Amino acid sequence: MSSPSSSRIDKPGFGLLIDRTKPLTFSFDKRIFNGYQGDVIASALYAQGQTLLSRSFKYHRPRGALTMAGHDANTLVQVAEEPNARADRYVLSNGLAVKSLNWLGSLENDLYSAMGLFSRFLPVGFYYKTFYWPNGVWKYFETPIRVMAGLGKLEPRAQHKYYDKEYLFTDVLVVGGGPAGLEAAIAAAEGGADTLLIEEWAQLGGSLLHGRLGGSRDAADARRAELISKARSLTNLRVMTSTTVSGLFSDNWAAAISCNRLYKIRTKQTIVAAGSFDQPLVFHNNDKPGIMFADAAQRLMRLYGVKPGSRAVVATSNRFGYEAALDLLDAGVDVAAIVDLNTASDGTAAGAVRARGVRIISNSTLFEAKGGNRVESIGVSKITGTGQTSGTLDWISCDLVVMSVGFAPALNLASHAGAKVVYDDTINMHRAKALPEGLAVTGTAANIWSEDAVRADARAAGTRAAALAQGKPAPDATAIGDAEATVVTHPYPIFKSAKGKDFIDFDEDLQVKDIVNTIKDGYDDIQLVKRYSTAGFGPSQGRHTNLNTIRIVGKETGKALEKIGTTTYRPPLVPEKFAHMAGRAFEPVRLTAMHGRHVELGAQMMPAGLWMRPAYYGDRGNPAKSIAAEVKAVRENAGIIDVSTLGGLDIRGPDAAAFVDRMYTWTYEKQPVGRARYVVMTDMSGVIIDDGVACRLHDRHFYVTATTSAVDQVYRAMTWFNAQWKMDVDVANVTAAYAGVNLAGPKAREIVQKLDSNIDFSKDAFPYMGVRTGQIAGIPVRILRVGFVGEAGYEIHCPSGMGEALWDKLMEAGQPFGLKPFGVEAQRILRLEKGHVIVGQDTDGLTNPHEANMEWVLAKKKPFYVGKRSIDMLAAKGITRKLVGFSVPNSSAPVPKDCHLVIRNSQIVGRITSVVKSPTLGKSVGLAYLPPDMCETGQRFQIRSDNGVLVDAEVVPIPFYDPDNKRQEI
Amino acid sequence: MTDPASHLRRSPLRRALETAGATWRDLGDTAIADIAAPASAIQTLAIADLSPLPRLGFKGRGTIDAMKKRGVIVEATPNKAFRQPGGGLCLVLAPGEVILLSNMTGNGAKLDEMHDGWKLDDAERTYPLLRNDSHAWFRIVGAKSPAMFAKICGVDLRADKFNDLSIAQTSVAKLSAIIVRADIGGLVAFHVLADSASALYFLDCLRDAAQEFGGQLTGHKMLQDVETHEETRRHRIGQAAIEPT
Repeated sequence: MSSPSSSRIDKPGFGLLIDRTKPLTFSFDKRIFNGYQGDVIASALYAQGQTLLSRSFKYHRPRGALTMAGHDANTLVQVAEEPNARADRYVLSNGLAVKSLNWLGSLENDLYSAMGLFSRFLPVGFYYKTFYWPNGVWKYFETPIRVMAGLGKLEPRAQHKYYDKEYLFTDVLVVGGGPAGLEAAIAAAEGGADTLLIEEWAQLGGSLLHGRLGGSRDAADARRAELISKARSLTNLRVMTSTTVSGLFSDNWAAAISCNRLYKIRTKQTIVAAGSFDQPLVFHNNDKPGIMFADAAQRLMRLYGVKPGSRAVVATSNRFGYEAALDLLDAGVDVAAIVDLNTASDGTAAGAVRARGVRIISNSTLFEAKGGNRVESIGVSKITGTGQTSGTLDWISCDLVVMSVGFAPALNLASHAGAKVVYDDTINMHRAKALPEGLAVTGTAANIWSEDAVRADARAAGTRAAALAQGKPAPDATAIGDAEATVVTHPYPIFKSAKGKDFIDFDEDLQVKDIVNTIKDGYDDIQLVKRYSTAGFGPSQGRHTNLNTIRIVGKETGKALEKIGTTTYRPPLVPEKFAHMAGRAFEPVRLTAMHGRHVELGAQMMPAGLWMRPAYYGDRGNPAKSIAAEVKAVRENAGIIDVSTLGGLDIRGPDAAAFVDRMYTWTYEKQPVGRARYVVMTDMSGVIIDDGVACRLHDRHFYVTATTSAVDQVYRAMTWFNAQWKMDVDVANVTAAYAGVNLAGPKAREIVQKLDSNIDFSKDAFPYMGVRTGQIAGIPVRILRVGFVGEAGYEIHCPSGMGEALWDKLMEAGQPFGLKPFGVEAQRILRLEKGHVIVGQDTDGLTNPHEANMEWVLAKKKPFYVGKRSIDMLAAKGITRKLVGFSVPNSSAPVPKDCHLVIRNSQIVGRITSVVKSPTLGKSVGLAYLPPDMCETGQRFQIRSDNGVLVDAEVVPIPFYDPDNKRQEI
Repeated sequence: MTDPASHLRRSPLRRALETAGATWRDLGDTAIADIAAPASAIQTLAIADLSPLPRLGFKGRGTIDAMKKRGVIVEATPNKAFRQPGGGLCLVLAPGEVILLSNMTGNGAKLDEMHDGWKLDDAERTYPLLRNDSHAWFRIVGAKSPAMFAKICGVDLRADKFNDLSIAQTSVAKLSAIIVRADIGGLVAFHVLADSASALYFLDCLRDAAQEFGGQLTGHKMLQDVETHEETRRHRIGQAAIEPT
């Protein structure tokens, strides 16, 4: 076990986030390490000398911390079941099991690192050119490539975790809790706006947490304390820390992630104060562990109290490198030299460093690093021109190289929202322009670096956003220039090495020559450069790659950088898990009023749209037996099925009949009160979209049923058409208001007559297709005498709150008559025996009534119904298929299945829509689409069944069962 | 003890509430659940099923006039609720659609009278809707209610943004719902009406979202007590206003 404090800094002002009184233990590659509460994995490992954290994607090069901000791929590790966790942001907890990624053998001795020797055979775009010849060879490459590629491992047996979402609302959203973001948020809140400040770190302060203000660490601490104190005093300023805004979208919609929750934020104004990203110095072996950005070293020291090394070389072109050197010195790290890319070193900071005896080498750059799994020495060379050096190297031994040669403003979010990002050669950085309405950028993201300018600009942005959000007059947005922006970023910190390994993109192992060769291959547009070379494709999303790539493209093509443009920033800014996007799954389920009774009766439930319906009642082990018994009960005694899922529409008003007449294909104007009539609805193109029954309950009132899955569509169509027709009618979808049962079978009448009712159920008083309203057993009902299953039956609808009571009353009354509940499976058989069509099963998205053999339901004399014109045109054109009934004469032949194909002369000419081995008829019967010339009764055809077996079938008239309809009309 | 299954009308949440330890009281043609919860629950976050209480809808272009004719306090202001004398609310969903919610006593006589007295031939152009059956009725009470809704609903229901008697017709946990803010006894409170067939699913979603805030299921009695107290207070204020000082 390593000591928890071997590289810890035991001085005040270091280790802001850790609690040294609370040690933790964790494992890394099965070795036990210690840390403190508040540590991240990487800081705890660095504290104990473990600076090798990972292996690179392509060449398996050793990699260590680069940003200590979760901005790069160098620190990706596997944490238990979670792949690709970022060790420099993943907060340590006791017992954490951490594994490094992407090696064969061990992290320290990765056999895959031999790939680096073959780098010349893996040029940029090699995967577009290789592995594809000779033909068929790819499969031999694929397996090893898949083993070697990729990073973390998905664990299929991982436990599900709870993720959810939350909406947030605010007047002003400020992204970034650094000095600019805090200032802007305070100003917005002071302006009276409901303000939300989101900071990705656990603590507010941004660069004030680890950096210096005016060269002073104490000033940074004081300023941070002042801002936080002021922010906390404002009740209309909400602060969320450890939360990352991952995308800004249109309509002022922002996405943010915190732990297991995705926040969906509606804001009126957004201020992006997201800071900026360090840019690397490019030289040979610039990726060795121990080489990191200046603020990464500062974070290790200030946040976690860890020395990043013992002897450092600082490469810089701005004050931040010097300030980092001061911090290193304060932490007890020996600073061997500062290599300044500029001719004249930064005055104030340089003076402070020089005063502490540090050697400053001006007009020079790092040109080469040496070392194995960690940098051991660095070669320094004089700069002789843009990207050029003298070639003479001055070697300095060190185990830490700290870089600060420039920045790229963090404009990803602004770009998501629609801002343009353009290069500004006066500051050697990009800037945002043409900001969309409701968006402002401030702080270093807006290229404002000096303290006074940051304060002024951020305050102005906050004040303006607050005014705009509240609909008050707001001052125009004015750009506050900042001269310091011209001296923070070096124009060309790229020093190409003849030996290569001068990395532009650490994620993808891209070297300078890869970008150069991309352009030589003809891909000189920045978008093509990105796609061909994969620059910026990795987890860093180009944060440390894009700017240098653009510089190389500019140099190689001779184009001005502002003409080259940029690649497109796309959300998410940080990795979002699928679990974040899925959240807590909301999948509504609809249950009928009788659902509990079905379950108690042993029903096997099945989904029907959002509804759950009984498939059949009985043991799962032998469904066929249960279903057959249910069919038998209906045919011989009586059955009851829950039909509450059927749609129901009340159409009321003086124009009710005329409206129904327009919506459906048959005639309803003269339909008598107390009668029901079949309805078919077609759309404007003449396609059948629904069917049901229209019950006339009053001269001005129709109660229309619709299919379970189509009722919402039917309701939409009715309200849409009524909005145009302006008829004096009201349409209400009353599906959920009514429960329904279908009581069917030869004993149905006897059962219903056992219950107290004010309805006369005798045949003459209540004939087939009659409709009655009244009461049964004290329950108000609407009763339809319909025969979907081909037996005498009553479809009884009642208020859904009383549905269970109705079921109970009928079940009790039916007991002496052998009444059995039946499910959807039995109903399918029963209706098919009767030859009834199910819209959606026996019709498809193109079926018109002529094809479905439903000419009888088309009113010829009506001037209009929805779809009539199309149906008439289709009829005139002639149909190419027709729905017919068929049976399989050979009772021992295999039973075809739904969608089996009809074959003629080896060609597909039709398909089965429904088929069943009828328990009542003892043979297979079904419905099929056939060409018109095959539809005559008695014609034979073949069905290609399972395993290609051809089954002979014969066209027969429908209904198959009770063709004279005597049973349903008794 | 009342057996809720002895009534013809039953809440779609009967079994779920029984599992949660509900006891039942007769209430007109149905039974309503009481669930023991600490008194503090209502301050923080409490959820109750009011589905057994009477409610009735009317829809049609003549609805507002027809309601006024029947003595309902209402204006043609969509997404606004109106408190009725003696408790109860009239929710205006659209210029031609309202839902009437009874008070907490469950006395539905007035609504029955309106329903039974309605005639299709009256040419009022208003048509009753069985909201008792189409919609389950939930009451959400407590300071944490808006925070809970933020997890399942995209409308800003914060107390300072969504005023008392405001209505949102929106999606809650992917389910169409009517949310009405109607505070009681100084507590932020909401009525929620949602598809009765999805009531069990909806209750699961509410309970899940409420868990983070210590939300609890409660019963009719606790809410009735608060509302009765509130009505008494309102009545006293009203009396004081008209009595000479």
